[in-house]
Amino acid sequence: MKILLNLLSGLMRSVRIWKWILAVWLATLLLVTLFTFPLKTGINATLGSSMITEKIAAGHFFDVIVNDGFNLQTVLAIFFSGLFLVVFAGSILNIFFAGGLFNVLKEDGRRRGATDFFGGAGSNFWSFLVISIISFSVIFLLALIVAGIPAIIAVSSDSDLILSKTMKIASVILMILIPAVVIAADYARAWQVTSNEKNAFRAFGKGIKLMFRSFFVSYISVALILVINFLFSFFAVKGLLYAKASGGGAIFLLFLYGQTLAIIKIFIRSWRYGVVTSLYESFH
Amino acid sequence: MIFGGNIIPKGKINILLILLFIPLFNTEAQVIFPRPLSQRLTGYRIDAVLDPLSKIVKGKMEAFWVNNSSDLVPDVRLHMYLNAFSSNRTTFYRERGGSPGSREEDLGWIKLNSIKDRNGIDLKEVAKYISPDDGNPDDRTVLQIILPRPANPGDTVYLIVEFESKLPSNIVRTGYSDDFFFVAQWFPKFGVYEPAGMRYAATGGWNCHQFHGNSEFYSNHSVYDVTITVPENYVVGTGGMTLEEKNNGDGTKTLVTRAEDIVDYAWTAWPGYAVFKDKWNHVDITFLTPPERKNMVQRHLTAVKYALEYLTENVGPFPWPHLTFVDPPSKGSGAGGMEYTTLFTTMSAYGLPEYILMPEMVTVHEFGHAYFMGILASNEFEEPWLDEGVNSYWEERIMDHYYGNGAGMINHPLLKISDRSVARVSYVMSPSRQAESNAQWSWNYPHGTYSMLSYQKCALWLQTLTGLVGEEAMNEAFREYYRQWAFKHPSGQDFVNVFNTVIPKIYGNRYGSNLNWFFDQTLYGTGICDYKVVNIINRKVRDYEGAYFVNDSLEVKKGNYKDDTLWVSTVQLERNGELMLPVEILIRFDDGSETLEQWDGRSRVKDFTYTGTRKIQWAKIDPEYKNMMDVNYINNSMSVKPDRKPVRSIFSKLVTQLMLFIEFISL
Ligand SMILES: [Zn+2]
Repeated sequence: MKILLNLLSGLMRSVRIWKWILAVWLATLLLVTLFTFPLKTGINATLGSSMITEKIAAGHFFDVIVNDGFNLQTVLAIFFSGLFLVVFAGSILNIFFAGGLFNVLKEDGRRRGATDFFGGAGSNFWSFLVISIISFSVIFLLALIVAGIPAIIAVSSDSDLILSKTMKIASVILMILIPAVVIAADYARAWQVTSNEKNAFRAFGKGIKLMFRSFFVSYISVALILVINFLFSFFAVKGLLYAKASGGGAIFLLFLYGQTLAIIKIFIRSWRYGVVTSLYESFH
Repeated sequence: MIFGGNIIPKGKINILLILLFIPLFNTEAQVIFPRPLSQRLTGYRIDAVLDPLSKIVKGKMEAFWVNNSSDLVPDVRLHMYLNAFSSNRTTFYRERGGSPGSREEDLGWIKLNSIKDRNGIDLKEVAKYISPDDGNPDDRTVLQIILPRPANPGDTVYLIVEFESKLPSNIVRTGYSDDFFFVAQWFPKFGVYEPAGMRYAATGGWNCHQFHGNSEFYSNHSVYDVTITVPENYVVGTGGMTLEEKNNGDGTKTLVTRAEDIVDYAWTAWPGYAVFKDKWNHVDITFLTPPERKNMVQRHLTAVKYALEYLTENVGPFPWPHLTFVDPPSKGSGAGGMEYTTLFTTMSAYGLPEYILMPEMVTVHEFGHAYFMGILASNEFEEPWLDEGVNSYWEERIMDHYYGNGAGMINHPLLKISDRSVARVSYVMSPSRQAESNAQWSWNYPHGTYSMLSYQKCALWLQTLTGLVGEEAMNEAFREYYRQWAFKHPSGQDFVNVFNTVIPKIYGNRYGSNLNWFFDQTLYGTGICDYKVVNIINRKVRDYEGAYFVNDSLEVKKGNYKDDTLWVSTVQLERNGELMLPVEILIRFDDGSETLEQWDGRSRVKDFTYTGTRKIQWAKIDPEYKNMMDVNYINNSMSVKPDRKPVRSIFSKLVTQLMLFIEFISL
């Protein structure tokens, strides 16, 4: 019951802040377009008036990109450096906005507006950045211990089968451990936005402590949202990959559909923040 | 050592051999074929014992070579391939770089404990290592034995050898890993004596090259009687037909095998193999694989049967009733992807998805060598394209035929890669694609171009030729190549000659009286091919406008544009590359009509002009992408209204996917 109530509370809080969710979406869209638009223009210029594009539609990319007239090395260099930059910048942007989202998700009887969103984002940025780095480091370390070491042992055995089984078991264990790290990080941030002391390490310590205050409820709620998030991402990505749009109108519709998915994805994250914020507030 | 120095008249040699040497050699006994398929100028009888601890194969060998030439031959030459793994100074490792390893157990070598002629005369004293290719004093891969008396025409030289072959730990085709053994290039093996007139030989001589970093092999078709003794828990696969398998009661077992008319005999032993059997027409197929890859078994078996079917139909029959192939375990992957005619190795990996057709491709490829390296048996040292290139061409045809045209390598709804475009990728992307022609010995290819040029470029120009003359004409030429040259070691020129007679026989003068113009540019040339559409111009034919003279007075006429209905439409083409190949051009007009033009592709520029009420909408050179030598498909076509939607669609998806990804990794 408590789980359900918290899930519901988080959901309502996220619905309330829909404007800020759209703001996050728009910022990400602009950022990504900054990278993809020049790339698209460049590729269109490279292909000129050629009809080779019919090969793209048939899935024969190799016949398009491997040609003297297509400077593949250059395109790949631009693509991967751009990809790295845009993913990096996007992650930083999301860390920044997380401060805003956590701040407006609070419920203390006060209406929260732009000052709260951007104020929360700005004042918590450095602390949130460090919390993210800590969390990713912990996940990385866990992966190394759970999957890396057994993999090294399995590789030296004869059979490909043992390696594959080891990796499967390791990923299951990781899947069970990762939500705990996420919960700690979420509590840390929920605490951080209410505290004047901006100290990431103290916040992360608080986060762990708060997680164990109501471990079962926290774990189930967050794990549930993470599972929903994962399934949603999986089907969204897969559906988009396989979607076929050849006409101009269909391509635009597909784009709109994709953007709706992107907004829902941000909403799911905000939902999780809302649930943890609600749990955090229930401790007081 | 020759036998007794007798001059045996050529025609009678067989009868005499039977009478004299039955105790030693059973070469005339027909175990597998009722009649020899080849001349069988060499033969080997080997008793091999594997010691899995020392990684040494101990062998007792009786071998013969028949002097089938009219020359007095003073020596015999033997390949001692395993010595390539004896140090980092061998020609093999100098050319490859690196080292076989520093520990004793890493090294590979072959040691002759005794070498005698049939009468027991010791030949060790007259045996010495030579390096005919590069003079490398550290290379001991060719052994020359000066015969006490030169071999007369028709003589048979017998060698009775006791040898030890230590397998290397770093498997390059041959070697061991733990308890896995792939035993290849493992026994002293005769080179090929080429009499004057054979291939390019002006005078008779031994064709016995050292073992090079980038080179394969060349041997006579032989009879092999090989017995293999291994610990009884080992599973063995060989290039021979197993006649008997007996348990020796001492923890070991012995396989008695026989192979006829193959150019090389290799075998593998590993306790871990699972054995699968299948049959295709007259061929008993045995497949050895690590048991965990059992869901790959059917894929491999289907692939090999496809290859058997396709090559039998389009090239010639596969004569042997036995065929064994092996998917080595991961620790023995260095043995994967190699051919020994009736034994070959493929590759795969546990859990490889079905849309990646790499395992099938390797199986088809390595099996295909049974034809070009096995039956035709060209000289891979000197003309690698004639085996690898030709075989890659057939591999591509088989893969693209059976696994979906345009999807013979990757067949996924989102990405399709044909086997032939993989070859094109490697050629087009290579910075050294013009560094050398295909007429080069394998270790002389510069700048790491050996495989790109001898496999892929060759396959590409064969595909291009197919695009020109059609598949059925290619099949006819290959069938004739097989009929004329099976078991006879053709040269590249012999291959060209077959095409030069078969293609004109089918098409008359359509492609000229011969195809030398094609082979000179592709096989013997280094030029690239690039045809392009430079421009499409649609211009209205204007009503007369301007000055005209009536008697001496000048009048000016204004055009009446409303009545202009005629268009002069021109498509402008250019040849950018050196290669001159005939091409087709498909031109489409705005009224929906199309016209297919032919261009011999020789001039630098070519225009096609049309006058009428229609305008040109687009033009495509080589609309079916048959000319795979063209290094730029992008400029092959031009449209007045280019379709940008496919690119837009990709980028629209990319934007969303990137946003989802950033969101996914955000905490
Ligand atoms: Zn090959």
